Amino acid sequence: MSTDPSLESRVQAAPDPDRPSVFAPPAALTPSVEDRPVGILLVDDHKENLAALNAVLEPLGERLVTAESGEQALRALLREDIAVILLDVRMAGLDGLQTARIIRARPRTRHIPIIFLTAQVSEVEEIALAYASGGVDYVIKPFEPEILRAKVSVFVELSRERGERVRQSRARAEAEAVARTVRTLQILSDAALAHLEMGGLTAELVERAATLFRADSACLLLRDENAPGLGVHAARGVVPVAPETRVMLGDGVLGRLAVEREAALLVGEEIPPLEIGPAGDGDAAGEDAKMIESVMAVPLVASDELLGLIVLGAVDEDRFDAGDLELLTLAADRMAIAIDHVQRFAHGRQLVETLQRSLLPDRLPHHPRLELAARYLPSGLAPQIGGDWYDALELDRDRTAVMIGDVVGHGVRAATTMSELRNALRAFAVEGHGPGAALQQLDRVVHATFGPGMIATVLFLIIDASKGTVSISRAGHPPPALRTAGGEIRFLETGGTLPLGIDDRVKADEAEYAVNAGDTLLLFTDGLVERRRESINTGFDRLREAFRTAPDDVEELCDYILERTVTEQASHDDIAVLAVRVLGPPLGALQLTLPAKATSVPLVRHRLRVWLNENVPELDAIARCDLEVAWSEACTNVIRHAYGPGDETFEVTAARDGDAVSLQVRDTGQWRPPRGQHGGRGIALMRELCDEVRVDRRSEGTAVTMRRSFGTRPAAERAGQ
Amino acid sequence: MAGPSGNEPSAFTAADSPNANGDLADVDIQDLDGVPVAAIKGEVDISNVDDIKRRLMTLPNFAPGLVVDLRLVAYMDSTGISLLHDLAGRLRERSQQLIVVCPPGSPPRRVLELTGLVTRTTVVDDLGPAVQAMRHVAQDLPSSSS
Repeated sequence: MSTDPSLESRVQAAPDPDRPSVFAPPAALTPSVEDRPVGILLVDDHKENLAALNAVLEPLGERLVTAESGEQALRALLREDIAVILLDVRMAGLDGLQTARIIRARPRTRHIPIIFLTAQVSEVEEIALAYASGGVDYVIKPFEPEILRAKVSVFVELSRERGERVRQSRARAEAEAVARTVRTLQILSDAALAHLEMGGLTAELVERAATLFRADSACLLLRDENAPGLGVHAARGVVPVAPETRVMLGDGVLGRLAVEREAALLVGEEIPPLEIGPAGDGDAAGEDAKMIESVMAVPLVASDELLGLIVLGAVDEDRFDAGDLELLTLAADRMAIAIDHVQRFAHGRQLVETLQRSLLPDRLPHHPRLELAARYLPSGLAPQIGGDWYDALELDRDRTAVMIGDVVGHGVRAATTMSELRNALRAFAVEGHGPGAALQQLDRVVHATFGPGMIATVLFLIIDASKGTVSISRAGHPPPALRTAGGEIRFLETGGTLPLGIDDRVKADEAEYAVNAGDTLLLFTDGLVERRRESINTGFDRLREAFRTAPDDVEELCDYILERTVTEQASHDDIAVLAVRVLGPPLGALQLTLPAKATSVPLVRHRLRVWLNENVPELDAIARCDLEVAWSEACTNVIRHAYGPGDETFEVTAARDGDAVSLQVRDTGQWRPPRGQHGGRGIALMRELCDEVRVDRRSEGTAVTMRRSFGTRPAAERAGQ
Repeated sequence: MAGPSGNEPSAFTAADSPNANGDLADVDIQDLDGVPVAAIKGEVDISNVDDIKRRLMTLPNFAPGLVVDLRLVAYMDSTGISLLHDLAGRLRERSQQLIVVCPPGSPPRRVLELTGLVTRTTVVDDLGPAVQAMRHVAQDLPSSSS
């Protein structure tokens, strides 16, 4: 009997306890044709529905096999002999009609009758149209148990009759042997797919091999980097294998088999007692202590390199035969490939993660009116790494572009593809395309460069801090979330189109929303909201709640949200998040535009003096003077260096931001190098007088931002007031 | 250009100016016991620094140097520092001396200190000691005629 829970969850054995497990080898399956249960495949993505179908069909006494998705159903059909399929029409992922189409396209499954389960009468016509030929039926939910049972048993009878004809030929026996081999290999390969870390993989392989071959003991010995010979990596069974057991290459029976890469079936005296079985210590001395009487030992070889040995033991002398040894030899090849793959992957994963991180921006742009922060979490599972990315860049003084995306696929290829997409999108953004136009261009790049099969989702935002708008376009990507200054959360869902790589003729949509000071935008990839076996809505609700209660500071906010939405178990995909907080000039800000002349300087200073009196009355005299000097210096620099002798203007802003004053002076000129000795004195003075001075010099002008805080109490104390 | 929060436009009138006559600063030059003292009153910035400089450069050739009195300066930025720096250089070329009067804690004193000018020029706290020091310099000069 299979003891592996993952197998049981996929395939339910028939209720009769005397009936052999579906994984028992065909030799055990020799009841008469009439008694032999046929397989009924139940496909529904709701567990409750599967349970209900099970209950209804159990009295038929057939073998019920369940699948929770179209994909699982297709896999089950590869392994299982199925007489009839019950298929839910509405399913996430591959839906019922698509699944049926694939079943019908495969020669092996073409003949299997399908009963569609539908909740809507309107779908019946669709089914009827699609499957005008026979062999198809439908049941409308909620179904009548008696009717469903009756319909199913008609198909079961048909199948049994046909099966009887098939079974009369010898070909059937061969087919079964092949099926067993395929099934065995499939089961062992499944283990390789599900485990990406060595400990889990070897334990699973030993478990499955022991079950498949009805072995009483099993152990997997592998080469280690740090010790000579082969060491035990996983073992199970009635006869314990001492974990410290080592097989030296070339020594003893097992050591010789390993070196010669030979599979062997050993019986009785041939079995070296110290190498498999009780290692001669007291534990095995009990009354019912069992001895291993037969052993199959097969070397594991991948890429012409010896990795180790798989050793199965049984307490009976005649448990294994030559066929078993042959099958185990085939299986060992699969195991070796899986082990090799994981060993290589441990290295590869590190490589991909390094690559990925090097492709993400190490610094986000600094805009005086925006605060940005981002996080990237690689997947807990190795091959999932690689597709998520984000980026942000300042387009001009007012507009900042923010992007996030997910390339379907993983590993080095996905990471490099993502880098190409990121660079292309950057270029389109810098060229001045809006989000919709940029994504459309990008889609063309995807089609032209990568061809069919490369699918990516992207969300592209341009935030205009001075207009207070955000324009959005998204290609198949989850919408960004907006938290208003008042704490209201909503997902900005318009402006969405298909993922890139689907159809380059579709025009990308674009939407514009207002954003105000205090608002926060959150961009993320689907790993943040998707968990296996959970509705995506649950993920969005969890995110909404985390976002609602998250702190204002964007760095803290990112950490807070990840802490509350990501669990160890859930992180099967990599995750990227990016938060943007919109800061604004607070109420009462001073903003002036002035001619770039020397006479503007005292005027600006006078206005600042008046403004400071009104808006920051608690400011002491020294700080007041310092701000006046700093501000005048910045203005003086503009007048001296920014323009030729024309009628130009510049812009100044003063704002209070909590216990700090921030001043900004912006011009639209091209700076000459400073002339004379005076040049550096102004800026040096500004740096002395303010806590922070930033000079952003670009082709369209220069902005100098200065900030001086005047609070004396620590920030934490102030915040508590 | 209108601000995002609808702030006032940039129309300036004479009323914005600190002095009714439009002058930001006055320079008053006096002779105290043979020592020329230039008292600046008001604010010094890019808009008036050249005028102030022109006034200060009118120093007679026979004087031992110049005392610049900043006691009544309410505002001075790096343009004033450049002015004092240039003035000290010019005087030094002619073996004349510059003494700056600037009380501790006053706005121009802070700028003198932050720019380091205070270590390169003689800065005293009050006018009396400045005049005395300059008279001392005058007595040492052989061609002095008082």
